[in-house]
Amino acid sequence: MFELATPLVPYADPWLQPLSERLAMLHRREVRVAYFYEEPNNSTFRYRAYNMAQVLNGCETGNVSASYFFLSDRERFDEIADAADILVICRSRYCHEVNGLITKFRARRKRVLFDIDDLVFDTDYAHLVVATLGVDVTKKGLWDDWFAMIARMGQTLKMCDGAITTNEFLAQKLANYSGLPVFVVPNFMNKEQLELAERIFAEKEHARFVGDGKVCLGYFSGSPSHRLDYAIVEPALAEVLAERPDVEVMVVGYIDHGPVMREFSHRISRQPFQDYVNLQRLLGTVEFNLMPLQSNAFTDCKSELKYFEAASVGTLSIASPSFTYRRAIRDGENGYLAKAHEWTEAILRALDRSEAYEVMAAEARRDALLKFGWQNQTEAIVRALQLS
Amino acid sequence: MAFWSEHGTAAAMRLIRAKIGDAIAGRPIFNKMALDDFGDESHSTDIAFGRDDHALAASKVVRTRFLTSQPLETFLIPNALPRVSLVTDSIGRESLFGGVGTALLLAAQLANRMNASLRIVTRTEAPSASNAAQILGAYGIQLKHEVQFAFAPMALDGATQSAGAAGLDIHPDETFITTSWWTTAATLASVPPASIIYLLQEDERMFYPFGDDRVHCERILNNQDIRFVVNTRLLYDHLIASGLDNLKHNGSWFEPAFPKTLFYERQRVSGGKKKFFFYARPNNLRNLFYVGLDIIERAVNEGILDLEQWDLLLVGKHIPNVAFGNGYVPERCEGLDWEAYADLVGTVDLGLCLMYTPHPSYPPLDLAASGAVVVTNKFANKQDLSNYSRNIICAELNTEAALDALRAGVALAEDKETRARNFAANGLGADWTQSFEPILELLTTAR
Repeated sequence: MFELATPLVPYADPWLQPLSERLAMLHRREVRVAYFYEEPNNSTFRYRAYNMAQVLNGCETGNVSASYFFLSDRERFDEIADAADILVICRSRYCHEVNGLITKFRARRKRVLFDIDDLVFDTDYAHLVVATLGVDVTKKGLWDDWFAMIARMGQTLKMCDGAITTNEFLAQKLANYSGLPVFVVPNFMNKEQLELAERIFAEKEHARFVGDGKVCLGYFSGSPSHRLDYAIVEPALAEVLAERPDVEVMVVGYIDHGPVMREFSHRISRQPFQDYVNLQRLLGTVEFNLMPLQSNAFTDCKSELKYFEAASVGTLSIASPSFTYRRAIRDGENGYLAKAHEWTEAILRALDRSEAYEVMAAEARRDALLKFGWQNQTEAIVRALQLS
Repeated sequence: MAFWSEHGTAAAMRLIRAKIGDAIAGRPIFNKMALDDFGDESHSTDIAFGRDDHALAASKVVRTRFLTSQPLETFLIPNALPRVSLVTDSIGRESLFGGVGTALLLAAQLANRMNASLRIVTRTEAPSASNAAQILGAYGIQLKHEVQFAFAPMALDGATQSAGAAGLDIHPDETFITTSWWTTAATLASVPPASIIYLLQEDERMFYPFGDDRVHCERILNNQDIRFVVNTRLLYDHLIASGLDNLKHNGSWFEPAFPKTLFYERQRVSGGKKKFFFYARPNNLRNLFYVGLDIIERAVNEGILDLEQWDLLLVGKHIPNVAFGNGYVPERCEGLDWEAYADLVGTVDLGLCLMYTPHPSYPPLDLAASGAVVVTNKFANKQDLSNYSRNIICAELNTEAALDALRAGVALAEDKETRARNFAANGLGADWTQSFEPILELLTTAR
């Protein structure tokens, strides 16, 4: 484990600004993009609306400004539609208010795009999504909830002129479903994340990536819906812990261990859910970031975010070969790939290549910043908005 | 006990946990009538229920009796990458010898040939990724695509679906490899018959007395719409000769392989005793444990097996603590992993492996592939296994004939020159890829 002197940073959600400030942000430049999300959160909203606006507004040479709006701004939808040239509806369920907002843009002959980061717009995949998330199918109202949510997403999508998403696999699904033109803008890291990541990486680099003598494997779950993903790696973790006394495990989030981990409980630490900036610091303390995923069309739609957030702080990832991970990770160069039956071997291989850690960590960070740093996303966003 | 014996400790623990859960929840666990214990080979369980004041639905009685053939719960998803799904009871350590290992190798090779992903679906015990890795690694098979593991447990209370589970996603044109009549029945209920390839490694009708199980089994074996892949030509010929005409047009066979990286003669302790191996599985009736014990006892008493010169090893599962002759207690070898088993087999000089079916079974071939001499029994068209190895001696199933065969086996084991010459002339395949090649060609071109 890496002991970091870089302290925690004080955190407050940066997007909680009054509407007046958000409108002012929109008005700053000649071409204006309004991102819409039902209500802000630190996952999809952050990646697909807040970060996009940050890039567009931060581009010194551009003439595009952007801001973000929510259902709670419904009283000012006309004003937003007057001010903005393009509306991007991010992962929002159909409702009269969303329809109303889209209609206002259409009435003004302005373009409306739909942005989504998951396979949750086509009800043909509803059962697969439920199964992948391990939801109890006997739960009352479950099918109503999931089919309604997915169908409502699909309906919003169909009202738009085009779609934007995070990777080519999901783009193909969107195109198949909607027949609309689809563009790809990957998820990426924003300024706040990268500022802290830079300090953490510099500290680790200065220490030549020497830890405290223990090697820590981290699983950063985000939500309890990753229970079945974690189950892929848990038996391998138990085997590695049994074989290597210097290995420890850190689990962040809501995952519960199975019985195979009981005998190692003294070598397992738990951390609560973190804000996304300080999560970078926690990521920086572990040597390896484990990213097991079930293999199916739903998980192939997931973005590279767990890889690049770890890479930015000099932490190497070991991942299932999902569509995006097998494109992002060059096995043995900037991380490791592990098929579902190879986790033990992959972890042991990674542990035994400690001499390669420093070079790989540097390469992973270089790669992550190049492809997934906010500074390098302007072109992709402008192209997706068809403003280029 | 029958359930434990057939499905192993992990599955039995799962059943017990479920029953404890029922008890805590105030649901009935057992009642006055226990279903019969259908013997070691039965796929039934000894879950008890039934004859009290309230009548049970007949369908539930049947479902509970035939737990392991309960339909797989599936749901359709849109077309995706091709996938081969292997459906088996368990890939637990104890299950991986022989048949299940072969099924895994076939499924992996077929998946690679079809440029498909592989999914391993188990029903009595959650699948172990590391066990699959061990087998694939031992045979040097690299999967082209990701492997998935899925646990599709039966509803132990006879319900139609495991509580809360979303079921297995299936593609419209997915290929399924099933591994027994009951996994075939479970799969047939949920997917198109043409997508099923039933890997048949025994005349499964012989697992049962004439009764319900046998009828269910025979119905599946008579299926005209699924494809059969039979382990060994001998078994294939026997199945057709015994009435399964359908295999003539929808069946094919392969011969197993014994890679030289795994099966080879190991270094012996110099000056040590010779090793005698008895395949000892008292709960698998077809292995004739008691017939074998009797033969060994006679061989010891008559000096055919001189205990001054031979160490006796009983290798298998659930082996009782027995003594031969004047109190000689053999070593019992149980729970060996794949490599430990191969290491042991590589040090054996003579084996007695009985199999009361037409299939040659794996242990005689494992031993012959590792340089040992083996005595096994004749059965139906299994009269001579010298095409595999001249170090395999087939005897009639009477004690005198078996003792004569053991006598000949001892002589051959001690005749190092002949034994080595026979070993060198073995007809056993050593490469699974070659073994499966005609089958893979057939299965992929027929689609």
